[in-house]
Amino acid sequence: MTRSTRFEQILAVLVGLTAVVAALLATLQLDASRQGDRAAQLSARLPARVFEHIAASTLRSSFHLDSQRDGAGLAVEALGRQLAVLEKGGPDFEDAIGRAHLKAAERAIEAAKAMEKIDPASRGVDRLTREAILATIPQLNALVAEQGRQVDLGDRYSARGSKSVFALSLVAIAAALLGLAAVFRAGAGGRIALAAGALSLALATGWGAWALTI
Amino acid sequence: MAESVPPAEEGAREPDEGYARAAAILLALAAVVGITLGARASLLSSDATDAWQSAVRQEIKRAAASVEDVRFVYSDEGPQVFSIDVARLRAEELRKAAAAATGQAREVLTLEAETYSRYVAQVAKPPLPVGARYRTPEGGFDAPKRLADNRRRYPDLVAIDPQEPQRAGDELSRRAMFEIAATIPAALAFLLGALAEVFARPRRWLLLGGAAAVAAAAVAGVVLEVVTV
Repeated sequence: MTRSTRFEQILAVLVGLTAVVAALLATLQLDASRQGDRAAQLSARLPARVFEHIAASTLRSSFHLDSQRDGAGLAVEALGRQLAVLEKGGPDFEDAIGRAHLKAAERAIEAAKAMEKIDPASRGVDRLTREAILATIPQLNALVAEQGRQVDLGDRYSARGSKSVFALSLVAIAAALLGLAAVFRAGAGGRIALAAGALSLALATGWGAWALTI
Repeated sequence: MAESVPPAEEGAREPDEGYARAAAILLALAAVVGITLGARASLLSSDATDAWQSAVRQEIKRAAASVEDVRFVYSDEGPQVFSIDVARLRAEELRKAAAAATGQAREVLTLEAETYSRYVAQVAKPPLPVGARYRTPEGGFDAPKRLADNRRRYPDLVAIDPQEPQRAGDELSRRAMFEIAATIPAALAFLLGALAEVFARPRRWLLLGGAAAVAAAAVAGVVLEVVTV
């Protein structure tokens, strides 16, 4: 090995630094890509759960509401019959029918309320279906908010990934220029290529640091 | 005629050439290890994306099956069964009232009770879940029990757990990150190898440091293949 010139020493330092910056930027880029992909995937997955919760909980609550309404409707009908008999007169059995229907209505309302109180877990309904049919508005709001957060996160990491890729491109340019400097050696062309390579590497480092702040 | 090298100068050049070879080997090793780790990280990253996509597919399949079962029980069967339950309650109360009444009232109440009983007998037939299994103590419809039974008919759909591929994707993603991070010591080894080419005095230490860094990168790569992160 012969004694190295100043030019060769600077070139070697820059070439080594190029490898280190490239490895750092590749790590940054992969991290951004992974986090971005995960956020995008979750933002695609969560709407399925949101719609499942909306559909299932609405079906269940509608059934229970309609059942109680049926019981209440029967009670109103029975009371109407009794009132009509009282006001207009009529055979005694009409009042007896009205009273029997009113009792049936009270039992129907009681049955409807009891149906709503059944804990699906006690009947063996699986966890995810249970969560869906028992979903509340605050829970749905939380799911929607989380979905929005994942979309924002995906955008953020996508921007970071794009900047990292650009920084990696600058590193590739720096590597090419340093290669050119190695060919030209210490002449004017070599010095220009070396300076341009160093500048490109500095820009790549700055761009990578900027990507980190996003 | 070839220029002859004085013996003293030849002895000095030998260690230099040894160092030059070591530096070249270090540079080549660092490049190979770094590129291998990068390629492996890329493959793992791709596998992670596949696993995550699978989680999305499974979530949609699971949710669709769940909603369909809920719709069937709470929207198709539930209202029909409860209307039968109400008719049954009406028949029971009318029959009780008939038992306590006399004369024409008793006849009319019995007739009314019979009307509802016949309605119940006519419509309360399978496949509607109208048996005692799905009747609550109050006389209503045990929809959750019916839902659970209905879901059990398709255990494959109930067993779908999107969190499984999600966790697998997360694991692969973490692994990919560690693999790519392991290229940093390989790059450092490259830097030290490059410096060893041009700086004579610390050459020995630069080469040792570079060898340690490239070994660390290679070991990290091997370890990541066998352990769960």
